[in-house]
Parts: sequence; structure tokens; C-alpha cells
Amino acid sequence: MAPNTERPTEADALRALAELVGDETAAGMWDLTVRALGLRRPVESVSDLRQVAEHMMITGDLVRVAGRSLKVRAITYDALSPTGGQP
Amino acid sequence: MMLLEERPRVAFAPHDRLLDVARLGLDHEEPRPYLQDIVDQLAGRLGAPFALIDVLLDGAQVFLAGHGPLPPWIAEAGGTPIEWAFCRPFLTVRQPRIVRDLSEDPMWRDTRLVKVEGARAYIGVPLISHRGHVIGGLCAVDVVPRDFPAEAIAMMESLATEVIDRIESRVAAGG
Repeated sequence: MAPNTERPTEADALRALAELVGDETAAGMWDLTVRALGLRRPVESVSDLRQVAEHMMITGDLVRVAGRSLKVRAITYDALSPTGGQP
Repeated sequence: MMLLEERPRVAFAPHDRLLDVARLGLDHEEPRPYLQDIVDQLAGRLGAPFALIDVLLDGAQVFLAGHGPLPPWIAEAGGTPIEWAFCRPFLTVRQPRIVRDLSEDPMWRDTRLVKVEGARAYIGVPLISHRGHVIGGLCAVDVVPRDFPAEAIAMMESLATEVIDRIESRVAAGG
């Protein structure tokens, strides 16, 4: 199969992301990432798109680690609290 | 209610270390039978009721393999809050540690694992990834104060190397 050599665009990237996480989350993540990198929308250059991609990958890894930590802490609190974790 | 201690806010969670933990997939909740013989071997050689391979995340430790019956709340969570992790000092000092009696150690004596669950003696060595980050520890815990044999540290460092080699080789092989 021939590789797809069309130039990647912000719109394509956002569409692909929205298919995975939904429109609202995708738009929010994209906005925050672009802002964090000091870029402006629409992100047009391929090198800027690459920066966005790398930033999202790093953020995703760290979010996953933080999520696991939070889950351990929440289960621990829930299990040990006399109120069963209810406020 | 203050059930968990305030989470330590010190500079021991640099992103590079946590990204290495993520690279190795050690935050994933999944069984790791390929590590079980190591903790079994460690417990047997030290005559200790508990042996664990733990990974230090940002706010919790999670267990990759364990020998000995864990309290149900730890088994359910798959770990504990990081402030109760006996291996946490490895994040700042990469040296093997022995605590003869945790109930006399100011750092640990008031923690639930000591006060309620009865942990007493600890021996641990850091787990250092091939990229040079401390990702956790290999340790044994006893429920009575005790000393450990002089050769224990060298034996555990060898096992820790084996732990890392097995983890890294699985990642290199694609999971």
C-alpha cells in the first residue's frame, strides 16, 4: 500500500482525535496544547503540528500515570474510611 | 476527614522519571507472572513473609508482583498512597535500605502499614531502569523486628537487575 503523503492539517488531526475522545474533549485538548506551546490556531506548519503531537503524547503518558495514582488513593480512602468514602 | 496524610509535595517526581515509568508500561493494571518467581525466591532466601516489587508513581506506589497475603484494601487498590511506600526514599537516595524495626523509625512508625497492618522489618534496593531512572524498589518485609544477613543486599541487587532486565526486554520485544 502506498503511504499517504498528503500534508497533515490541523483539521485532519482534530477529526482523528475527536473520533477517539469526542468533539468537546478533542477541541479542549487541542486548544490547551496549542496554547501551552505558545502557538496560534490554526496550526499550519508541519513542524508545529509535530510539536503539538509530541506534547500530546507526553501529556497522555503523564495523565495515565496520574490517573493510576489517583485510583489507588481513591480506593484506599474508600476502603479505610469509616463512611465508606462518602462525604 | 484526614485519612491519608497530606501528599508530600517535594521535587521527587520529575517528569522524565514518570515518563520512563510510562514507557515501561508499569502504571498498567495487569498481572505480571514473569516476575513472580523473583519475589518468591526473595522471600524464601530471606525467610520473610512478604516480598514485593513496587513502582513509585507520583502519588502512589503500585505492586507488580508480591509474595505473601496482602491486606484486602491493598490488594483491591493494587498499591498504596506514596506516603506509605517504604521504598520512597529511593527517589532521593539510591542506596539499599534496612530498617530493623519500622515501629521505632520516625518516618514510618505512625503509618497505617506499621500501626495497623503490623509491618516491622524492611529491606529494600532500588530498581533503576536502563535509562537511569529510579522506577521503584524490590523489598522484603517481616512482621517482627529483625536483622538481615550481610549478603542479603548483594543478592537483592542481583535480583533487582534481573527484574529490570525482564521488564526492559519485554518492552523491547513489543510488550
